[in-house]
Formats: sequence, C-alpha cells, structure tokens
Amino acid sequence: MQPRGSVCPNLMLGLPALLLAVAIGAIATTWSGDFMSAGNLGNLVNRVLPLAIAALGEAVVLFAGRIDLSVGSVISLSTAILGVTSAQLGWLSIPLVILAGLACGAFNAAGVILLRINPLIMTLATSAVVKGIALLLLPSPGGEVDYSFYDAFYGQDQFFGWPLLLIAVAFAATFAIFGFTRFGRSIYALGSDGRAAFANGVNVPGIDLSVFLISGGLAAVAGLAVGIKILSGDPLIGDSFTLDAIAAAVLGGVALQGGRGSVFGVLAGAIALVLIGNAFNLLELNTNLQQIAKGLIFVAALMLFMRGRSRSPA
Amino acid sequence: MIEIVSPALKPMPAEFPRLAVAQVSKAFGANKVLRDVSFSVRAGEIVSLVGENGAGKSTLMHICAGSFPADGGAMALDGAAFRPASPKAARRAGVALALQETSILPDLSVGENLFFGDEPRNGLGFIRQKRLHEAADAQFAEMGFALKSTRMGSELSAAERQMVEIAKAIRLKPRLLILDEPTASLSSHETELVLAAMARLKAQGSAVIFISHRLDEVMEAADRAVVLKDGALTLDAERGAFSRDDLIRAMVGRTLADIFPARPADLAVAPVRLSVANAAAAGLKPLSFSLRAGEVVGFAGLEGQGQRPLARALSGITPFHGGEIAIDGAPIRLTSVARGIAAGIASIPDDRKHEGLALDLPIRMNVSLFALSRRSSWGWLAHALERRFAETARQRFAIRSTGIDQPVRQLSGGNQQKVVFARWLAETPKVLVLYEPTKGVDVGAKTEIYRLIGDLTAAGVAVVLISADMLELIGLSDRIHVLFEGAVTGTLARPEFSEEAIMRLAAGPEGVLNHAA
Repeated sequence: MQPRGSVCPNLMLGLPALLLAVAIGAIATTWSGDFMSAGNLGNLVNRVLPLAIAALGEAVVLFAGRIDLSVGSVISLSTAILGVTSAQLGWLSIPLVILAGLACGAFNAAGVILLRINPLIMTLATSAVVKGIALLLLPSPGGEVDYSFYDAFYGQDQFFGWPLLLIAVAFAATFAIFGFTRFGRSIYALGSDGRAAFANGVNVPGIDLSVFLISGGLAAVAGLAVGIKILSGDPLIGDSFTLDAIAAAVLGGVALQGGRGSVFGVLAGAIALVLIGNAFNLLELNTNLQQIAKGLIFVAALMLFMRGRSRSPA
Repeated sequence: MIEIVSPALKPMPAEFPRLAVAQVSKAFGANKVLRDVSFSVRAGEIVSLVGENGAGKSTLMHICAGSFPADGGAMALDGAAFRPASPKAARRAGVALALQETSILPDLSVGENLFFGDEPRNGLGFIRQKRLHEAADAQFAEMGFALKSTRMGSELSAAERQMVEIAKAIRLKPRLLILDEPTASLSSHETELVLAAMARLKAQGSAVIFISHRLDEVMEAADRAVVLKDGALTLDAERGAFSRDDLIRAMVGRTLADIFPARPADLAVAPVRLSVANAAAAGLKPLSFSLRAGEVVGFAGLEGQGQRPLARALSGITPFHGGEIAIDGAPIRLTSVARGIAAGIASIPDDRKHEGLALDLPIRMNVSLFALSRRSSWGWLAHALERRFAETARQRFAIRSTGIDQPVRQLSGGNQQKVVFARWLAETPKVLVLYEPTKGVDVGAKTEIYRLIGDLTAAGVAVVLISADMLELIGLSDRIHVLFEGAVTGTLARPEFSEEAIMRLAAGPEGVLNHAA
C-alpha cells in the first residue's frame, strides 16, 4: 500500500491488537457460551471504558515521547473524591474530580517543564503524592456514591449506552486531532525528534503542558467511570491501571520513544487486555495466571513493534 | 501560525540593508565562539559565509535564526531592531534557516515535513491532506527535485533530507534565507539545482546567506564573501574583489604551505604497512587499498558515502565482512577494537565527546585510559606512574590547560582533541586511522595536529585520513581515494589534487558522465 502520509500507516499499527482481540473473543466464545451473551457484552463495554479512556490519555503522552506513571493514582484519587463528596455536592462532584485530574496533570507538567525533571521520575513522584492524598481523603475503601449516578450512566448495563458513546466520541475526537490538526501533528513531531520539532517552531513547553493535562483529565474521567461503577471510593483501586494503560497503548502500536502510534490501535489494545481478563474469568482460570499472561503479552507487543530506528547521524 | 505574506516582494527603503549584524559576540562557557562580528546583507544579494570548522559560522547563523540569543551586539532587519526569541519568531519576521543538521521529522511524510506548522486547512481547522501532498509535489517539480510527498521522513537519504530542508526554507519565500552547508551531502547535479533555486529567490528580492566549504561554489554563486576565523571576521569582499587564495588566507590566517607538513617526494620504496583486500562492511562495498609506511592516504566523498563505516571497520568497532586485512604482510583478524590495538592500529573517532572522552574526568585519567592495563599492577592503578605519564603527554602534545587534573570539559575543542591523540598515541602505532580529526578545532590546534601527523609519518606510521575537509585532504594526503555509495570511484595522486577533481569523482559514475557530456 502506498502510504499517504502519517495517518494511514498509523492505522495499520492497530491491526495486531485488533486481531488479538478477535482471536481471544473467538476462543472465549467457543469455550464458554456466556461470552457473546447480551449481559456479558454490556459488562465488557463497562470494563473497557475506564481502561480505554486512561490508555487514550497515556497514549497522547507517549505520542509526545513522554510517559505518565501517575495515571493509576489519579484514578484512585478520583474515586476517593467522588466517594467523599458526592453525598454533599451531588453532580458538582464530577467537575471537581475532573479539576483534580487536571491539577495532577499540571503538577506533572510543572516538574517536567519548569524543573526539567525526566517525565518518568516526575510522574512517578506525582503518583506517590497523589496516592498519599487519596489515602488521606479516604484511608480505606468506602464513602458513598449515589445509585442515581449509576442509573443515569450505566443504566441496565446494556451494550448500546452512554459508556459506548463516550468511548466512541473520545476516540473519534482524538483521531481527528492526530490525523488532521496542527496541534496533533506537533505532538507527533515532538515525540518523533524533539530537537527537530523545536527547530520547526513547535512550542515544546506548550505541548508538554497539553499532553499532561489531557492525560490527567482523561484519567479523572476513567476514575469517575470506576467510582460510579463500584458506587464508592477506593484509594488503591487505580494501582493496576498505570501498567495496563501503558500495555494497551503499546499493544496498539504506540512507540514508547514517541512519534508513532494510532489512536484506534490503543482502543483495540484496551479491548484485547480486557478480553483476556474476561476470558480468564469465564474459564475460571487462576487470576495470577492472568497477570503472567498480561506481562508476557506486553513484552511480545514491545518485540513486535520494535523497529530499527537507527538513523544514520548524517 | 506562520504567516509570511511574500514580504520579499514589498519595496523596502534602499538605505537599509536586509540584515545588519553589529558587533555580535557569543561564548559557550569559557569558549569564545564569536567576537564582535559585524557584516550586512542587502536585499537581492547572495552572501557566502566561509570559514573552517569551528570558526563560528553555524553559531552566527543560529543567532540570526533565533535558535539562541547573542551575548552582545545587535541585529537589524530592514532597518528595524531584530531580536528573534525563537526559530518561530525569526521565521515570522521572514528569516528562514535550513540547517546542515536537518530538522526533518522521521515519523512524518515528506509533504507533512515541508508544510509543517503551515498546513493547508479547511474551515474547521482540519488539515487538507490531499491538497498538502499535491502542493508539495508541485513545489518539488518546480525546483526540479526528485522527491515524492508521500514518502516518510525516516526513509530519506542524507542528500534527500537536505533537499527537503532547503525546499522547506525556500517555500516560505523568506526575506532572508540562510542555508547552512546546503551542499555538503549533495552531488554536482543536486548542487546546481540548489544554486538555481537560490538565484530565483535572489531575483525575487530575497537575501541569501549560504555557508559553504566548497570554494568553487563560493566563487561561482556568491555576490559577496564573508570569512570568519576563530570567531572573528577576517574578510568581507564583493565578487571580483577576492580570489580563492584570499579566501583561504582569511580562513586559516596563513598560507597553506605554513600549515601542512611537507610531504616526502617518493614513498614507492617504503614497505607496505596496511593492506586491505576485498573487505566489505555494512554500508561499504568490497574495498581494496594499501598504505606504505609513512604514507597518508585520504578518503574523500560527499557526506554519508561510506566514510563512517570505513572508519569504524578499520578501528575494529564494526566488523569487516570477508576480505583480508594485513599489517606488515601478516594477516590479522580485526574483530574488535582490542584486536586492532594489539595489531598496531590506533584510531581517532570523529565524535570525541561521545566516543573519545570522559568529559568530566581530568586530563590525567583521560590520557591514561588506553594505557591503563600497562600502568597497573594486579589491577591497582599506580598513581605516581599515571601522573608522570600524563604530565609527559601533556607536554608532548602541547595540551593547553591548568594542569593534568583539569577536567577535559573545560578545554577548548582543539585541546580536547589533543587529549584524544595523547591517549591513542601513548605507544607509537603502525597504522593511525583518523576520522574528521580536526572537526571543531581552531586553526592553532589544527596546525599542531597536522605537525604531529607529519612527525608520525616521518617515523613510519601509515595514516588513513577520512575527512570532509578538502583543504585538509589536499594538504596532508599523498593519495586520495574518493568514495561514492560505499565504493571507491577514483583515486588521485598528489599532482592531480584539486577540489574540482575530487568533486567530479564524488558525484559518482553518473556525475562523471554528466561532466563529460
């Protein structure tokens, strides 16, 4: 296929994750009759939602050649805030959670831009700080989220509902940004070659701030989805999301060194990861095996997408 | 974002030059790179900026293009004060820079690179991808460049990256176009296309500054030549008022005969030191050549024609495939740097900061690094021995420093290079492989390095000199092999040396045909 610029080859990057998702789905269907049931499909969408949204934010950061290790803690904090405040504040607790997520992103960006701290270290530090705050707010799982939140958002856990729409809108919008706007192209440019991007007039601090805000904001949205789902707060529930989000992105063809990756690949990656978990549950396999399988798939994905980036230094 | 409304076409008051640079100075740490440089460029004028590596040309152009500010001095663009805060600000003011170190984004297509930050968009702000590719292809066609808009940046060769870089700068129809060594990686034909594009811009009223190492090109294209030497301006003359020799004298501050050691007339009787027969490597076709004791054999060529693989293979970093390497007639297996050293090959890498030196360690430790094993007993370093060794080296190689305990980072480029030489020449080798030995080195240190090479050859060392510096190649070599796409396209003996002869071979077989036609 004749590549027509950066958009098309990037679409191809999502193919392996998509095939993996389909394959797991097919295996699970043959082994367990429940897999394709309406109940399980609706359940799957609800499970895909938080990971897909968190992975999308992570992918945006990865596109820019940075990384965000605070995603999981931001999710925990979000559920904690929701659990503690929603009884008094009602719907107002939702914008409050989003603001908190954006604040976490801004904190990451401040360290990376102003103090020039390596993103890996800065976001790891932020992760510890945010987790601490979540534990101060809500030392143990609890708090209360009104059932009306669940009813309004998840309804009857049907396949076609708000969660599916939210996924569709978030991914379509991000796809449009990365395929067809200067902003998206600047993010790719920064991840592709930071010095060249600067020489091309890219506002590097501006992009850094944007990607960490997007990641923080989307992690907060993911946290809302989790909190509303469990109808309470949990200061540790987000822990596994950081690695899962990175794994989903990498599985979807996002390069850890930046500059490459497709938005839909990330979605396919998130779906594949959730399906693996779901299939393990339906087949009643040991959950520890699940962890091992996920880790191995992560490594396999890294190997699959490794490419010789050894450009001759002219 | 970047809007340039063809300012080149607007009439400008004639009394102001397009760009005036007044007493600009710049230092990086203790290293003074520019000293009170003043010159100006008129609209519709092509000015060639000439100088040796490290003379400060690129630094000066980066200041003009907003990459970093000057420490002192001022600039004016068409009479208005000009202090660009960033490359973007400079571009907005109408100053476009095409870098020698290209800014092509590997994960974007050629067209996306060409239009980066200035993409055609529809009413919703979405980029019109198809229109972008059509416009890019149209521009390449107009310039005669054989490039396709949909190729990815990462697939391009060094020459192609350079062409895109130049096309990018020219597309903006800038008031002032700055090209930093635009032709270093280009063949004669491609160079003609670039010179033609410069002439078109000039006819439209733009000013052009181009940096070049090729004096033939300067003589052909420049309306005026400005020469920098060690950060200071040494010549500023209109076309016709300067000769090639004037340029060289202004660049190096003396005549060539004073810089380069005299070469012995006849080396044909000396024994063969190094012979390479049919050896290939990644990026290098099967190659055969030999060096006699005391001989300097130069390797010339456009950028990226196999120089780097050759240097790395000869030093044992990457292996040769097949073929036979022999030193003093005895075949050797050059599979690692250690084996090369054992066989008597010393090599000086081009990138001393990454491959040669531990910048934060003192001179003492840097010079004794290679001789470490000899200067230790049971793995413990003998400090007194190390100090004595380092002190001797410091004096022998004239390393200007406060003492052997000074960190290498604080030394000038030239003195850093002398530290590299000191390390590798602790024992006199049989073969010395030099890859860009004077890159970023001032003229004084350069002369000392050349003298050292002369002394070594007089002692029977055979020297392989891989360099992009024509003056250096012509001045030092006894023979020059010219590389093109990893193969030797021709060999010149000393009486045949000239920039033109080298360039003709450097363009490859096709270039030879073009010239013959």
